[in-house]
Amino acid sequence: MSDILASHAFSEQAQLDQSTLLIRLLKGPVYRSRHRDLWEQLLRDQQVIRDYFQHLGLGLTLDNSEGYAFLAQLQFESEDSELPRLITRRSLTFIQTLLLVALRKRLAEHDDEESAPRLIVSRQEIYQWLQPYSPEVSNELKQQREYDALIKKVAEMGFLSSIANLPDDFEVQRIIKAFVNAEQIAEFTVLLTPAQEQKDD
Amino acid sequence: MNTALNYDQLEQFKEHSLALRLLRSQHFALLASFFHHAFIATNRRSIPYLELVALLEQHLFNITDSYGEEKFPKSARAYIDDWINVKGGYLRKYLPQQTDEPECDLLPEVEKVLRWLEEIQGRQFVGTESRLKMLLELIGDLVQGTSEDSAAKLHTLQARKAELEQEIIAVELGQDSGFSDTQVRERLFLLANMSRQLLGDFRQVEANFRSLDKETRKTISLRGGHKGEVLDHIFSHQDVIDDSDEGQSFSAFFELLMTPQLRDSMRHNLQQLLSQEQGRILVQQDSLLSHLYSYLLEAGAKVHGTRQQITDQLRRYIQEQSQDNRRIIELIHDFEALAHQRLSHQESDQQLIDLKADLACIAGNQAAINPIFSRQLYQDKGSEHINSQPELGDASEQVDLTPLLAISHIDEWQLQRQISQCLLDNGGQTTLAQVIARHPLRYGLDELLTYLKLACEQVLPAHIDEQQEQAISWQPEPGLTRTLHIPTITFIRSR
Repeated sequence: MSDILASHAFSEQAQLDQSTLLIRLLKGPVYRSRHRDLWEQLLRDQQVIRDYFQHLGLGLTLDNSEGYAFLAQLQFESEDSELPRLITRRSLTFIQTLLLVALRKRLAEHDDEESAPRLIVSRQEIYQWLQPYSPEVSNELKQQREYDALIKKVAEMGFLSSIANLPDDFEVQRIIKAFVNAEQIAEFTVLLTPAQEQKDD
Repeated sequence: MNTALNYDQLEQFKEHSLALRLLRSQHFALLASFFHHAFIATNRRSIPYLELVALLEQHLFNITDSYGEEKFPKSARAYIDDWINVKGGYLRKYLPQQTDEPECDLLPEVEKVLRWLEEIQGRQFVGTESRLKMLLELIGDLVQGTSEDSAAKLHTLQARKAELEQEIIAVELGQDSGFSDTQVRERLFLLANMSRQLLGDFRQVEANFRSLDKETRKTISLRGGHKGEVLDHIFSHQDVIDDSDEGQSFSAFFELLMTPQLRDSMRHNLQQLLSQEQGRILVQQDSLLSHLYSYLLEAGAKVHGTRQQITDQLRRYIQEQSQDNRRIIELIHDFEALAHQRLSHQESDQQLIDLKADLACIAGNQAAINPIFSRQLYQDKGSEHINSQPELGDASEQVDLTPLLAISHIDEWQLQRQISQCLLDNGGQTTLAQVIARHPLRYGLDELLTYLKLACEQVLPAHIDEQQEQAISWQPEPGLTRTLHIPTITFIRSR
């Protein structure tokens, strides 16, 4: 029973569905709002899927209340037994880090305030967050273009999504909570600390 | 509940009240007319952002048409954005659960202003009797509902029974005359007014739920540090929304509204009421009552949805996030402070960091499988070859284009002359059927539609009675008769 994947009673259609789900997960996060039927299936076959990916050294993170699921590299106790990475880490520039942290902060503040689950931020708002960190510039347009490129990059990472017909509004994807978590922010802080930097050198 | 209007408070209120700001706004007429047109007149509970912009565009167009472009120089979108974004604007913009299109809703204060404007615009007459009766009944209800003296309760019930019996006798003897015209009118107005007030209150109820939610979240996040206290708080707040007076009253309201018997009887009664003469007159001036049930249902469903969502989210917030959120915000403050420090130029002994330099890594969420052999090898696509010798088609085939070109032209003037002629002959009034009987339709449906157009656009004064049908027939070809049933149209001679 543990391995439905190999079961003979499995019809071809079910097999196809199962494979679709597994592949989708490998390709990126699955959201309840975007993939309704996949989500049902994911909840149902959760255990099988976990077992399957365990062989590949991957763990499934599933948040049913927020409605997202994604795969992450499993961590092992001993440092030596590191597997070849199937899911690579993404490197962030300083300014990208700042934006992610700012988005996470806005989301936390939003959650402290009200119950509307979906958070919209405007391009202007994002400019305002970033401005204090940027050097004074004479060409504001150029700076805004850089910010826009940054926004696009963060949208590609899946933490912001654009809204149809409204080019200046973005929805903050709640999955950011899983990636920019307390541990991660603490790590950012350590990386910024100069003493640490010198020790590393 | 005794609100004294105190000078100092009112001075403050004047500055801070959203409602008064709307009244004082230089765009007051635009704001009020537009919001009323868009939200209140049609009982829309919320409108998608882009649709609202389009509605305003239309509205502005109508205004500038008669007052000139310079009156409102900005674009509709800019105005809407102003009204949303200006601190404490008039509209709430949010992303609903199910769709990806932002929606806008009026703030309750704005709705109150609009209702007030409606009210002072002149009510037909102020009935006092019906309301006194309502007061008496309410007092009676309260006494009965709060009294624990069962003997007294019985007594009241008995008295009511006796009253009912007397009424029954009166009806049996044919002495019951029902309400007088004035009484009916008065009650109808009261009904319309109360419905309007009730509908107007839903936005407030929703806003109150939202502010209850806000308050709860605030207390929780402020107390975040002490675990035991938080837990106590959690249990006392689990159902903060549902347990509030408003929450309970709304639950009872919604339950009642969804009862099938109630729905049917309300629809039925309203229909009957409004088909009577007095009712018809009222509906002509004010169509609210004819849609009352669906309006109530729509408004109720929206509030219900919001409450449900708030309750769920709040519960989750309490269970999962309050601690975490607090910690995250603290950590972020540390990070931000450090980032500012590293970037500020005063601390010149430290090396500045480049904003574009790589700083950190976060976990990815995609498997990076990108085998080089899965790429296709280079393949020569071959050059495109265009045959520059066009083949000539066979020109001999003749296509009959006459049907395409034969656009029948209906001469409106001719039809108008025909109507005028019939008006003359029939003493100033003629139905469309009479006109067509005298001047049979030569172009069929097109011609009939042109008549209808003349009537609908009131090119010639016409009365359209949708209660009565008339049949119009014509013969497009010999042996074939077409008949159309349309509302009776009577042309009247212009004075």
